Amino acid sequence: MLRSLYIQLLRLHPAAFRQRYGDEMLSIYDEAARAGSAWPLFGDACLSLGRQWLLRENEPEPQSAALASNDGVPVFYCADTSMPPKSALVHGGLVALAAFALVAFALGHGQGRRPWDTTFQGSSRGVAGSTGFGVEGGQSAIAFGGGASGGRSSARSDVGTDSVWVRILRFYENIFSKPRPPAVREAAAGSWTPAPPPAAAGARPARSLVYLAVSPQTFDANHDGVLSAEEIANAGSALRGMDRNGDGRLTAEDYFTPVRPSAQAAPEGEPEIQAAAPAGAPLPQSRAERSLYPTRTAAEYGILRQRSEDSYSLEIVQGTEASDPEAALVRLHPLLSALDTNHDGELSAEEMRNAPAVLRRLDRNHDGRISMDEWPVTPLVQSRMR
Amino acid sequence: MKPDPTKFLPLLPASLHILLALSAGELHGYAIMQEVARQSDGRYKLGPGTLYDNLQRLTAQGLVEEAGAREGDDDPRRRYYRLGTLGRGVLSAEVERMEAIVHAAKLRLSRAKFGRA
Repeated sequence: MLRSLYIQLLRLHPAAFRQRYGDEMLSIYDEAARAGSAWPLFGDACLSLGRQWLLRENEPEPQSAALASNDGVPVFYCADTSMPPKSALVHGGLVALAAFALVAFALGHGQGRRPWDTTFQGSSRGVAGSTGFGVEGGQSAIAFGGGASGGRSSARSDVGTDSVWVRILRFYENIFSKPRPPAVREAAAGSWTPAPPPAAAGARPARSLVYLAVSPQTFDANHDGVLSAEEIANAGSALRGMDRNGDGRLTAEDYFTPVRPSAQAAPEGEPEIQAAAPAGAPLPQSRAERSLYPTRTAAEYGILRQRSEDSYSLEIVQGTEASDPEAALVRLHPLLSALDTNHDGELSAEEMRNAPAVLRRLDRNHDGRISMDEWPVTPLVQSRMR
Repeated sequence: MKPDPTKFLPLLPASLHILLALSAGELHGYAIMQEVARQSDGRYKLGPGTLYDNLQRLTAQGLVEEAGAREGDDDPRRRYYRLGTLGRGVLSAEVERMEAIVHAAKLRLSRAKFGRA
């Protein structure tokens, strides 16, 4: 048994050394085994193994030579006269492995920030007359609320990077990183707004590129960033106002509402890309805009996380809600989830009537009003790119 | 042109012991290990990996020559090694170098002892 193990150690040595000295080393092992002192030879063999592979050059490397074509003209030259020694290859392999492990470790412990995450940066403007909630179209296609200040937010998209390299990096990140719960950061004053569903895109009027889902702004009639007692009491009627098809209930079809009238001009600086589109024609979409439309049939949703004041990244959540994507959207949407008391994915007439009571429960400081910091933690739900 | 023995100096302890063991005559690997242990009163023991790693290097440098196997030996796998001419010169140079060190050390120590006295 021990002899077999020693033979295996010898077999791990470079071929030239093994063929030259293997029998002699085994002979010495047999002598030592007869003397009852074979154990120290294993440590010695391991050291020899390392020395031989790392420090010694055992095999004469093939000499590189110029290859000649049929007409005698060399077609390939190697600047050096010999191939690199195997020890150099081993060193290079170890260094490469260490570097790769370092990169993978850094990716896995990068505070959740990964280079292949979708990031939005750029300039856009809040909806006129509102306090900054909403999705804004245009070349950059989407903007996310700047909160009660109605300030500027940004949008830059580099989505659609789900290449094979990204998949490989994700694979190694999953190996090296600690598991992260799907919880999201607390949004202080920001809001979220999913983009319109594809079905609604064709019905959008020209220039109407801004869409608003059920959000705090739905109830904030005077756009002061705070829901007063009166606005809370009118929450039911505000929701009923979103029932565009008048069926008495709010479904995902109704969650998305254009907030900028079609006749309203685009804000200054925003390209009017839809102006020339003929009536009824599909609206051209930028890549970023396309990428953020919910794909309800694909049921691949993501969570948009705010990385900095004007930077967001999109993390894709796939598969788990494939059977009922609309309900999944509601469950991922904290406000809809609060209003949808029976969690069936839509707001019935009764749930709309009960909306004021639901909103009053959000009034954590019991001052009769709901300020922006009292809204539930907001995972921003976006769809996977189509 | 014969290589300068001093360019191989200083020798590693294992190489020195192997050359010293082979200075007595042709030996196979196991005998070299036993001779090294005897020379050092058992304080320095070579393993076969270290032995053949050094023999490989010393052979490549021309300090040690392989004498091949011997008929009638107990173990036909054994091969014998002997000290080459260059190896003998290197061993002599190393011994001289060590003698100089020992001489200088003794001189320094005796002066220190005299100074303290």
